[in-house]
Amino acid sequence: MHGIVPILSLRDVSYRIDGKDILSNISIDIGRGEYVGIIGPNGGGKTTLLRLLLGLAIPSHGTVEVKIPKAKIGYVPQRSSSGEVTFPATVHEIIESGIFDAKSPHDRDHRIHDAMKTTGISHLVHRRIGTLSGGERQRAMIARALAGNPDVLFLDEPTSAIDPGSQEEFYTFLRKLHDEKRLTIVLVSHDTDAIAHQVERVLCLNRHLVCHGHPDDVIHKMEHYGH
Amino acid sequence: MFADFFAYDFLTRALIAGIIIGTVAPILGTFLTVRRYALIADTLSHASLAGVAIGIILGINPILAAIVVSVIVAIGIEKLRLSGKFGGEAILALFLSGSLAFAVVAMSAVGKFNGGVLAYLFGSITTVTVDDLWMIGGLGVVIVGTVIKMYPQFFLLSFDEDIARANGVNVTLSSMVLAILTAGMVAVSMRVVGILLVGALMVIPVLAATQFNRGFKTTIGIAIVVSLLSVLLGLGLSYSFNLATGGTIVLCAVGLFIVSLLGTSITRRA
Repeated sequence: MHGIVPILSLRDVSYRIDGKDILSNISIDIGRGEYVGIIGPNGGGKTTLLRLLLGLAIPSHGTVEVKIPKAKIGYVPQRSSSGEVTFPATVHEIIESGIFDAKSPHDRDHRIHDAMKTTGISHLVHRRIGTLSGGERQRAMIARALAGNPDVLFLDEPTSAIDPGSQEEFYTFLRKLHDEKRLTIVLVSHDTDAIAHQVERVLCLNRHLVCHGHPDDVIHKMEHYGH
Repeated sequence: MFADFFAYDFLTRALIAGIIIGTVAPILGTFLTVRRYALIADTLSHASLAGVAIGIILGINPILAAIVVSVIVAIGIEKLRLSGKFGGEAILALFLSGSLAFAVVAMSAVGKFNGGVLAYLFGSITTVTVDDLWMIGGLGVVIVGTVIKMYPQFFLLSFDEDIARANGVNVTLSSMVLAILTAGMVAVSMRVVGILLVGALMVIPVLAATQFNRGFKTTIGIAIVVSLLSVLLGLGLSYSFNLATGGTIVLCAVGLFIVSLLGTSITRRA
């Protein structure tokens, strides 16, 4: 983190529900252009941390600060795929819904076209979102997020709807996206091995911040402490 | 048959009201149905009945009273739902039952539970006045204008509330506006379709439209066509065979839904 300009900053953040601690005393910075993975066991507070970062949950204690005024957020939620299957919208309409600041109709079309090209789904433009495979749907949701020119891209368990054979390809695509656009990416996954080889920094959660740092160091520490 | 709709003023008024309602109801209905929140229309229609009761008892325009009461109830529903303390369906059931109970008790207490009320419950083409028409038309313009202005927010709200919030949409405000527009729509529709059936006109054409597997805007367009066909056929049949207007319109919508279901199933198999 040294020398990196923070884009998100959490200070002494705790989150409680019905008197039960979901997260305690989290203090971290996420730098501009970083590719961060949040890992940990089920119920460890990964998604809660993501919701706090997104402003979808309010911390019981501490502060969550977005360092960029009016930061544009790209968010790809975890999907059980049931909601999107019946939603009557084309891929074009879904991507268009991610653009709030188009300067003109031409600018809007250009950004939709670019996002589809980047995610490799140009051929799906008129397909209904519910008719896509898990992987295609995830790419459409990422295209939607990218069309909004986000400052940070958040993904919650992005491979949950993708078959195992396509997961490696998906991570390669994300890595390329980060490297080419220097986009800040925050990724939540329970699949420690998979994302440890992809991200630049890992935050390991189990209701508190167990450890964080370079993936190799974190995995070494986790093995050492038997997590 | 349809020539009579231009020959008699009351039929012309019913026709114009039906066309406006048939156009606007499925626009709002699309957002509600895909959000799995369609039952709010039924709840607000029962709140409208409470408003009608207040209007009849106080001697003021029942539709105006229905609009006021249903808007208040819509705000109450959304405030309770967004508080997260109760499930959405339970809140709708609470207001639906409470409104109906209030209307029945209030009207029976003052001896006004009579044939006039039946026209509000089931719709009647003979009861649309010029004042009603101005109210229906005015509200129709407000609803269409608001939906055009807030389409991106309503679309995201219907797709995923969390994504909407993360993208900076004021979900509370957008939800409230959608509920208030629905309340107004339901209240003004009751003259033609009836309180007990107005919810169906907001949902069934949308269900028929979703069978065609098209995009969101096209689905709204198809739903409007289905809704208008239902209203025109229903009004015509209701007048020709002296049938209850609201029920006839809704049965036409159900018929068109079945046709769309069978038609699209056969097309997919072919």
